[in-house]
Amino acid sequence: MRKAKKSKQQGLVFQEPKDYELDPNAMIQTFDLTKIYNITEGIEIRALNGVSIDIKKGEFVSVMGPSGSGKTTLLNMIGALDNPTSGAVYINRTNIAHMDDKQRTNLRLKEIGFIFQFYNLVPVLSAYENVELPMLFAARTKQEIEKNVNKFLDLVGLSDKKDHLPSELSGGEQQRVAIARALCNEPSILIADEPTGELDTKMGMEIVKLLRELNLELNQTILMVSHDPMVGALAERILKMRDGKIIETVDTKN
Amino acid sequence: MNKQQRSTARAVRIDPNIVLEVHDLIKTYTVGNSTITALNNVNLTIKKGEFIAVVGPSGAGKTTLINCLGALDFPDSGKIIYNVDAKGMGLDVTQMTNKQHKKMRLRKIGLIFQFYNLFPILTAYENVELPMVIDKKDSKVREEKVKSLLKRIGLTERMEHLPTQMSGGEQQRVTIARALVNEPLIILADEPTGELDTETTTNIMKIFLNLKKAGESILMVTHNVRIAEVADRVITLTDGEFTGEKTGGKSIEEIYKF
Repeated sequence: MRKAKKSKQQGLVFQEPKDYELDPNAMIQTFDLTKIYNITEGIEIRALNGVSIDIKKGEFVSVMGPSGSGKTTLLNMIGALDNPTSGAVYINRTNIAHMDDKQRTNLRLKEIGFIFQFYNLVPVLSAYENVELPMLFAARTKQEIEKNVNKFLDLVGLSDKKDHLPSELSGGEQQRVAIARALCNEPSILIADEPTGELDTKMGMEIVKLLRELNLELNQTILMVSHDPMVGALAERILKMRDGKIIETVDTKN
Repeated sequence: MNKQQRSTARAVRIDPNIVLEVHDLIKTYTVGNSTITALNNVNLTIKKGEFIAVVGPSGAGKTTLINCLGALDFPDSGKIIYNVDAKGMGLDVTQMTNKQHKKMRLRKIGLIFQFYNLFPILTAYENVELPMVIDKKDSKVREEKVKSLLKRIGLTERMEHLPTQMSGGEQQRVTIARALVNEPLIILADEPTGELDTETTTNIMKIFLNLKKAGESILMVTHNVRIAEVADRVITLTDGEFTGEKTGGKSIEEIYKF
């Protein structure tokens, strides 16, 4: 793969050192995270307004809230898909704002697995080829790629459809391919943005149960956004958002 | 055409000035007890360097046409012959094995989709590079090609950006570069401006016209009958059949009366 340039990404705000209290057990921590979008001159939208969260290793947490409450924006900040206006994101006790482009690319490819509402599979590639993509970009060996792609397609129950194109798969099957793709580099964290948003209730519950199994069996840390209360309730903890803020935390174990 | 009926596509003669010939294409789908005819006897010839627009409402068969021509699906019957070499030899994709289909998709056909279908965790550069990575092309060859294409579509400054950091128009420009990266025989575009506003639509059409000027062959399906008129020929698709054709060739300024 091409070497990443050392230049800072446009819009990246480097934080002045602050005395953030880092939790030794945290996989994800955010401190006073804000994101402001300038719609037109003089009009700005505060998508995140001081969000501080702490997610432990192996936890399954869902973020819930109405449309426009800032859920996806929060996920994009944590996944290094976008940059906050202020505040900090720590993944495994490292401030991602202090990473260069190459480190951020590595973070997205190796440390975090992403699952999106619309699956985001590449239509011209088979299930197998879609799953191997992040491994190709992470420059893994041919043997590693073959082993992991087969392993994770098997885990999501799609071994017999590995040569199928996305257009030949149902929505639930496409999302399973996306989950296998998210897992193939064996990341520490899975980030899922409305993973059941395009699926019917039965299929949606199957996908979330699969995520729960991954969480229990592989001790995968999972952060999932959902607006469906039934889906969200399968997580151990629910963070409720409104107007860019966490307004309530619900522990479902109690 | 099912897998048992397909073997290896044999070379057939094709006029060297033609990039694609479609003969008597039929595609049906079975939904419950009923059969829907998505494409009914479609015939089409596209010359090298020609820009064709196929217009029709939702459900007319536009995406099915792109999927069959783009080697993403097999028709029930008919021929889709691409001029794959300079010596006037063509290959019928309907006769291809899955492996040959894959090679066609990667190397000979550039596909552009309405929703861009970029991989969100990869930068613009990496998304353009993707088909060459899959095709195991050498890294130096990849770098040279990707950089030149990003320059051509005016996104050099944005190559380190992720899709979330780009506008819809910029994302579509990335998909155009991705479609061109393996130097395909033809660009097939499925509603490429369906998600874009008028200004961005005209910018994308200007890129298509520039590609045509540079000798690229393009087939675009769209429900936007106005913008379709920039193409050389505008073909109407109704209920799976070609029902009309007119000459296009209008400038964007003529269409929008700027």
